[in-house]
Amino acid sequence: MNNEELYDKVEAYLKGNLSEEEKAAIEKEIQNNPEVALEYQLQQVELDAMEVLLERDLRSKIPQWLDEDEPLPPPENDPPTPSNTSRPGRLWIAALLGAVVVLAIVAWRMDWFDESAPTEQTPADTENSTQQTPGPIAAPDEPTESEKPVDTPNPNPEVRPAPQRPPAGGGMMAYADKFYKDLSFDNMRGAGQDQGPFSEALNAYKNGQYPQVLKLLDTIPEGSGYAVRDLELKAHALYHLKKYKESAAAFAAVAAVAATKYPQFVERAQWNQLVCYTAQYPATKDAFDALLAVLIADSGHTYHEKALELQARLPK
Amino acid sequence: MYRDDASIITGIRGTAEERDAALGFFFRQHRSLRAQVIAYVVKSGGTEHDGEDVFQDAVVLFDRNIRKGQFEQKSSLSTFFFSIAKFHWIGQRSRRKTTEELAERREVEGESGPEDAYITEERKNMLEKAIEQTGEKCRQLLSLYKLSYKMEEIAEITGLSSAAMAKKAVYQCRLKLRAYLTQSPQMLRELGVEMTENPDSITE
Repeated sequence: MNNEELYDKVEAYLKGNLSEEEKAAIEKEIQNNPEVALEYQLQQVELDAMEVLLERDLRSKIPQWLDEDEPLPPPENDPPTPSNTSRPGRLWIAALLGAVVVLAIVAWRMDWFDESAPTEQTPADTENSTQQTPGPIAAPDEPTESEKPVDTPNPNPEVRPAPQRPPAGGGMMAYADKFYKDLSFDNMRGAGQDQGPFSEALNAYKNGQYPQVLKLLDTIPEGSGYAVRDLELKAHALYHLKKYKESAAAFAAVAAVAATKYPQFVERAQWNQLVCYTAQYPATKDAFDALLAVLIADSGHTYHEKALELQARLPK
Repeated sequence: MYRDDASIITGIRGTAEERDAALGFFFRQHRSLRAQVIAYVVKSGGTEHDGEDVFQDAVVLFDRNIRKGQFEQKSSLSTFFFSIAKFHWIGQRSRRKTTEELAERREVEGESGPEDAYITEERKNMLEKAIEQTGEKCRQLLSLYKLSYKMEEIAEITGLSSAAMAKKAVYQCRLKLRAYLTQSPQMLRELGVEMTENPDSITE
């Protein structure tokens, strides 16, 4: 058998194109003939390489499938998830929960900034509550508790409560703290799983030892595999240290690093980046305006509604 | 366009465009799968990051299993997807810890034995480098080849004059890939290829 014949034969075997008899014959050869065995192994590696090529292409498309704002096909038994309830075109969901929304709006109107009042559940709150206390695992065709929409966007922007204006002096600092989304500990990768610097940093963060958090994070070598996690913790620590400029840069880095793999972190990081700009407003007006415009333009963004609220508070 | 699971499967096994459209349709129709996978992983000791990883890996495995004909249509596609994600997470967890969860595998219901032939990160990195150096044209040819396009179709898409030319071009690209892979015996060993003592025996 010459090289080309050998190649063709092994290729046909791997593609499942041989008869039972031919298949048995080549399997015997793979066992007994090193040349055939090598050709078989090499072709397998080549096929794996091609599979990696397809995988790369596939992964690049996943965020698009999850986020795409297209009309859904006729729904089966698949209820909406928290992540898509804020998408336009889901007004039927809002209609079903109209009574809840009305109550929420009333509460919202009554105590816009009163911390003691029942607080509105933000998109991130919803996300966290879903993740931290997942509902019972059901078959995929069945709705789980975690899928039930619990955070309903304002179905009618026209009844948005009249925004309050910023405090005298024009600073937006108070709004930054109001809108800031702190770290969710329970779902941090590595939390409680090891005794390494990240776990120590996380503990320091919980204890409010933010300078220590930064020191510990600096000891983690680059390329340790958890870049998003480390950066996010760093960004939050910087925020608490009121190093808003550095914090904004760190959140921007989180968004950049997470861009392909973890879209939900991108949106949260963008929001906190905007909050950092809010803290320094009006010195950061240009950066603030640019990022705010991005969030407002993207009606599917998790923090789109929050961005509109923030915009309403800008000093005139 | 897609009336049922069977038509989605046909799409995934079809051309690149049909595959993309079918997968896109499936995941948009079942948006809750991602949340369910993440919830399952978090509930069974993982993190949100783990859940996201498992979901994305499961998408890759789902596509691969269907293209390889591993789905026997004994359950719905969404159940099949979820069982792939479960198997994958249980496998990952047991690799991380011990084999204590192996018993759980038996409890996973639905389609039996979806292939969890996930290519490890290290292996993937080596293969990505190898495939990268073959050039854009080869990457296109090899993608079409891997998606089981007929040589006539590959010729038409890539502008080659005939099926025979397409076959030759694919062969040449595979040789290019092989030349890169075989230049380093160490890499070959790491990829699990046992070299013979006579390197001339490698088909080139």
